[in-house]
Amino acid sequence: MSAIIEARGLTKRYGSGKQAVAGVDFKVGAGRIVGLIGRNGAGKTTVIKSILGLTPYQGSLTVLGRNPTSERDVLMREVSFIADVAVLPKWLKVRQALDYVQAVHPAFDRARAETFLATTDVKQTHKVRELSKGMVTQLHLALVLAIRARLLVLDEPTLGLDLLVRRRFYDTLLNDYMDEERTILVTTHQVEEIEQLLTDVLFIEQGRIVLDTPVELIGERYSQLIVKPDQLPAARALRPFSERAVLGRNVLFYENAAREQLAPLGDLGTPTIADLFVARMQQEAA
Amino acid sequence: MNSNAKYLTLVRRELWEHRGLWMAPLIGVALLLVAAVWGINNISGINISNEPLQSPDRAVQIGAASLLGISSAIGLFACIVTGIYLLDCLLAERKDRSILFWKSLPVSDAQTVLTKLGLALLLMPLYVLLLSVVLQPLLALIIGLRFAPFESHLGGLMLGSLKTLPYLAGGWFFAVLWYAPVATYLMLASVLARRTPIVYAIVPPVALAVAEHLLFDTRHVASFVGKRLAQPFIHRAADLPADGSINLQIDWSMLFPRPDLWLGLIAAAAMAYGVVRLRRYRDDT
Repeated sequence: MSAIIEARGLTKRYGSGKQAVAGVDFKVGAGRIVGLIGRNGAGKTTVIKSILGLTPYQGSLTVLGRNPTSERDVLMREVSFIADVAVLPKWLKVRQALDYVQAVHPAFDRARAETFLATTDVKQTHKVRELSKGMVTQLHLALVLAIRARLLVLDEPTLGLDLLVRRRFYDTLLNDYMDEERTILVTTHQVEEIEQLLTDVLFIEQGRIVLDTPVELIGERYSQLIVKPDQLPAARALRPFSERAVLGRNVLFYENAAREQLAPLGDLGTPTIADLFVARMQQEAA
Repeated sequence: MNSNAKYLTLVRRELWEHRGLWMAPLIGVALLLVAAVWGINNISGINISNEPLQSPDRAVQIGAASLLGISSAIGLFACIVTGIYLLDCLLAERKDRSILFWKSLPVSDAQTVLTKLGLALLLMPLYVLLLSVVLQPLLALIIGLRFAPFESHLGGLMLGSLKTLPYLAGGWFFAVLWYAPVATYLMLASVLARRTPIVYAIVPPVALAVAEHLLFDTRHVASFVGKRLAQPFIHRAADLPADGSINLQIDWSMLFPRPDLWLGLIAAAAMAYGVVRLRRYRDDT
């Protein structure tokens, strides 16, 4: 697995001395869809900005083998980025956006972008200021899909959009963009929404990576037990790392626990990424 | 994709966002035309038809003077909008966060900064020159319609402006070199400011000048800034020789050895480099 992104000791301090990112190590391999998941202020956006060469950092970071800060312009031939919807300038016309990207990006396929736009309500004569939030996202997605970069970075791309647009956004991404050559790094705090697409998860909390695992290994490593009330002391004795009460039932989360020991104590299953995230955050807080 | 198309589009991008850059000089042109039409219809008592255009030499001189005057007028509009543009161009993209979009494309910070600087220092003067050359015969025509016999002097007028053109172009060329540090200084204010970049541009020199005046009772800073802003490098229309001869020449041998010209250019290069670095490392989105 060749690393598309490799961070070692990645650290970011802001002027106040606060560490937004506190020496994290991680790798993102080719063809993966990695969710960088954390609460607001956990350091997600700082990691993303470092990867895109938008902010200086300490430590070592390579993206497609390059230094993102000093080689940003070269790197951006193979990396695309969609931030939350507000970054396309309001004065820009749709046609101008196409003209611009076509002129500056060697790998832009204008016909492809126009074909996608034709399926939306976005007209080429529109200015960004005349578009709804959802339409601006569709425009940005049209530009990015037509570039077909090796790495696509998405930072809360569907923030503030309605459910239909969000669903269509991710469907388009999976159908029209993703293949084994391409890699996606996506941040969100709405984990449930992208749970189904991810191949890997990185949990980040207070600037540190607290979980880094392929999704297919979650079932091997983590267990979720909905405990029968009378078995609660026995279940607790097996050292769950987190516990939650839902509708009068106790849900306990285990890491590397023996499933045959847990099975008699209640309903045994694999936690969803969202449940796992909440459980890990509670563990961090404890 | 060739790099000419890329730079052309980078310039077009600037003009899409800052439409005042090309519109304001056009408004200057329109005002001059309106003033000329109004003037020939309403100002009585001035009869220029008899005296000035009587001799071919005078026609040539008026041709020269009118081109210089027109170019100065349009140039003034252009300088004002260019100054505003330079102050705004690197703040606007951070204010609306569109910098995140621009930076997600393979355009380097140096390309972005040099495009903006090139637009201000090369394309805007060329634009003013072009508008002046187009407008001058138009004005001559309007004035000539009123003050016949005109046709016989059109050749003289055109000859005058033709003869003045190299001088005018040379004057703008020197102005570009002279004002380059002013332009990069304004960009520096733009890239540093969080809001109202004009305050960032004005406060440091004013504060320095006031402090200097209070502490040492001297005015070196003020005179330095004044000299840089108001350097008389080109003849005004009024400076034309009264005898009707058109022999305007820029004495490059006087201008080029000036150390303040070269020091200014070195400062401009250093500030441009600083602007590129600041745009790369500045992160307040």
